[in-house]
Amino acid sequence: MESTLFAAFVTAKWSNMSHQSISVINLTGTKLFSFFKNRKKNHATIDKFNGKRNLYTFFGSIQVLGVAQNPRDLLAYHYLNNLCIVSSVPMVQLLKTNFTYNYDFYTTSVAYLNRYPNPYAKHVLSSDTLDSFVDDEGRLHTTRLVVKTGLLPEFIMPYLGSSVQSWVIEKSVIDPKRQEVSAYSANVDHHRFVKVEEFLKYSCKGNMTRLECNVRFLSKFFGFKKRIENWTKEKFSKNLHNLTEGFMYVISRVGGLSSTQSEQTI
Amino acid sequence: MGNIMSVSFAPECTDAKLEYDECFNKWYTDKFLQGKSIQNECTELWENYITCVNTALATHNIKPMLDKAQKENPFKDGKIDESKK
Repeated sequence: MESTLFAAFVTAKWSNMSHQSISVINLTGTKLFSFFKNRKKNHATIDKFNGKRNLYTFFGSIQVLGVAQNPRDLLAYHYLNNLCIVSSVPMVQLLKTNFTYNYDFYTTSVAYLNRYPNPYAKHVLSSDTLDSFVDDEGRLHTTRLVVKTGLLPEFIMPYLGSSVQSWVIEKSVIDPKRQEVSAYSANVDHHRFVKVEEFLKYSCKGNMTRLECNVRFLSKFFGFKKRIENWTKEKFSKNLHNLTEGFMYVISRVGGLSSTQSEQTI
Repeated sequence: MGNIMSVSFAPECTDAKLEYDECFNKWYTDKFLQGKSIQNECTELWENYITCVNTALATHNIKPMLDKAQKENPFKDGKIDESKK
């Protein structure tokens, strides 16, 4: 059985000098391990747990790391006040790729602003503009709020209860002088599980547009590390497919506009 | 421009959103991209729309997280902040 994050109960806080040790018990009351305060450094480390070497540092607060076998332990976290959630050194994954399109800045920027809805973004439920302004350099800044489903991995769903939607913030800067579109998106909620940040940069030269795509996955969800890693890779390639196909679809939709435009400018 | 546009997260704001989006798209393609205007000309429709959105957001539990996310600036000088990648 795969290891899962567990919620731990801590019997003492480091700030209380009278307590020299902390016991971590699981929710059924079974003691998992104890560790002792390091008198010199005012922090403690656990360096062996579950047979694997783990090095965890505690700085005066209740922060406990570990691996348990029962995912139900985690659910109980929501119901008990004095439980501390297990957190870890965040797992970060960076994935990047590039594309080149045969479209100009005009088409690219119009398609970017109108990319929802499209048949490749059925997970997008709504899109709202929260802010839109042109700065002194003539760049258009836009902030949008997008509601998506299916942003998080299926195996996390049982922990979310009824909230299967994610709120995503999308910020973009459209620079007509440099013929560039820079875009950033990140989920606003569910950071406890994963934060997915996407950096897109469309650089246009004549009729060519180069899209640089960087995605950063950040997860503190310790016990799911391996599964999250696999999921992010899968998600990344699937997203790229939808991103490119969806973008092509939107371009074909705004395409008529672009050709009219080209005729006007020639 | 015949675009199908997405709805607002708050159903009561969708009409205002569509009106604004249509105006914005027209301004964007006909004026902004042509270098004819740097001032979004859909002010009235915008006020109408954003008031509706803000009202719907005000009591929503996403609000505190959203406020935090809005303050973050992933761009430096109009470009994506390289250090953030």
